[in-house]
Amino acid sequence: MSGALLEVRGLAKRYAQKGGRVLRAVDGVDLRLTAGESLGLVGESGCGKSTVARLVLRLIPPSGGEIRFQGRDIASLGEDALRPLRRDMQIIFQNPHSALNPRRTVFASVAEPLVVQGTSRGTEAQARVTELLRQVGLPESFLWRFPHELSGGQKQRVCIARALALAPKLLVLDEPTSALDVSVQAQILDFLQELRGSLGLTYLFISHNLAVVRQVCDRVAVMYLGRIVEEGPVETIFAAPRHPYTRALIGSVLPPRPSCLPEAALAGDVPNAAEIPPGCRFAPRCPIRMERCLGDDPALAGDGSHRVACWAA
Amino acid sequence: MSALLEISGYRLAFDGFEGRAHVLDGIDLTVAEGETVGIVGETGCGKSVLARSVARLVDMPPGCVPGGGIRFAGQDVFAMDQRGLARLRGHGVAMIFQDPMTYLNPVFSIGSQMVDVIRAHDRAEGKPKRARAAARDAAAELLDAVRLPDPGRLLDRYPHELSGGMRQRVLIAMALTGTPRLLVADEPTTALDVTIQAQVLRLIAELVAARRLTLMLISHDLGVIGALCRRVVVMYAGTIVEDGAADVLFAAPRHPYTRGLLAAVPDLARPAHRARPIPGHIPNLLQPPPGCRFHPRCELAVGRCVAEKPPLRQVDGRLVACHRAEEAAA
Repeated sequence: MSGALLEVRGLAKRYAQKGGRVLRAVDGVDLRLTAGESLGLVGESGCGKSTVARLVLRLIPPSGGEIRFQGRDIASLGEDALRPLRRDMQIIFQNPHSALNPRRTVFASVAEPLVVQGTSRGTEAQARVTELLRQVGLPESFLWRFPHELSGGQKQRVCIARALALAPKLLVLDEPTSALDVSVQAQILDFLQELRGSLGLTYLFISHNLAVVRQVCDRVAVMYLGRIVEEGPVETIFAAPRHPYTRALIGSVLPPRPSCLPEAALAGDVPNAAEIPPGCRFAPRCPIRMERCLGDDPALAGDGSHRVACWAA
Repeated sequence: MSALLEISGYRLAFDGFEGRAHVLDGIDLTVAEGETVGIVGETGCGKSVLARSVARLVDMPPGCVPGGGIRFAGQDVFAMDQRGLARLRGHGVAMIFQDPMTYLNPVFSIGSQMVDVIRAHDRAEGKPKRARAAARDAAAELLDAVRLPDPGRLLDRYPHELSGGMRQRVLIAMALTGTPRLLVADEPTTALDVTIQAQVLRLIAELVAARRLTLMLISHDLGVIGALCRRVVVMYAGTIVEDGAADVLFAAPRHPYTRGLLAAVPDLARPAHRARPIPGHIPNLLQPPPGCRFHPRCELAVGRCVAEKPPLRQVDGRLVACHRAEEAAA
């Protein structure tokens, strides 16, 4: 298990619903992040990717499975035991407009982790925040500004500065550019790439935008209905996807130029996570479904780096 | 082909606490019957208020029109009385919007909402209002036309019981009620997942072809525009900066903003192409930059760009609003 910063096994999150039904938001996820790499987690809304993000950071307690961070299982640790670990793992959310308190200055927001963790205060904290702002490309004059005075891209930079304040090892990015316009998105993506190189960060990059993931990630994991269905190096997955769902996802991406509409490869909607079909969960929508898929649930299998959960792969 | 929609010198401003925001600054756009036009631009460029203006859906006040006008099928939209507007909306122009949940009433069944719309259209057209049962049959037919399975049962269901893709199909069905000539679709698939997006776009393309609709598609997504539209209009900060055939414009953009926009989009098919940002940010429309509104972010800007607003002019087979369009060849 050497070299793994984060290793997740059989991770599950279940929510009890009215009438005794159980919603299986995350249903047996295995993940492994080596220090310094960037893993993309892709899938459609409701597939559980954001829940995975919150689980690995222990923002919510898991219903089952193991979360090993730097070799230590943190799945069942209490708040007090988690606090010292929090400085090593931080998150950046999709919407920077709601991730910043409108009544706090940039300084107050970015300094908060320093205060909570007791690492610095007073003028020392101010010096550190100034340094962090410089790192994310914002001038010192932004210290005393309020979120409403900032553009979307600038707010996201403030959120990044706050996440970097405690010099974390793992950064979870939950759709970090989805709320931004493309011209600003490119700025933030460039900047995140630089940052990973210079600070040696490890990214869990959650996105529904495959083109973005291809640009910033080393490996990619595709989620469907609470489970990872395919996982491997970015070039392999995009050049030769083996799971029919991955193929459909890639085939649905419209290139930024005149094109024909893709043949709608997938019929129907994503099923409700409270009614996960038996057998392969993708079978009801699968264009290459076989008899076996309806009864047998395929596990993620394959040679070392590229793994697929499909009987036909 | 005759002009179905003529927008000329159209200006729109909103009065607020901080002053007057000039959100549209002299829009010239003529759309012929049967065209498929995509309007693309980033947040705040004015594409949605332009779309809403076509059906006179912008509230005034706080909005006001300091100049220019819009004609639909030869008639001045701003001179219409309530009867004229009722006919324009739905029969002339039908609209679908980004978030289908917002446009469906959560406390009424799909059938009840559709029946109301169908009967309102009867009234607007001056026809005798159909009985609810007859209108319900018409609603079921419309749901069938947008390929929703089991329309009869669907009519008794409520919006929350439907998926996002199904809701958008219901709204498309409602938009077809009055057999419109122009379909205005404002980010119709932005709230949907990619696999569902492909289904809904296919449906829109088929309906446009089968019913000979004119399409005005508003989107920030160049891929959606590229898949559905033969003509592309690029907007920036309340102005049209480039307007031309999609294949011409995507292959050889002439306006620096169009070029920047195309370069900023990551492309799955071209992993070697690194998305390049456009420096700077969108201007504050309370005090828009003088001259060309793009000049503060433009690498080609010269003195003239600050002093003089560039008009839309014919360059290399498309319309461009740039003083230096000839030099901006890709």
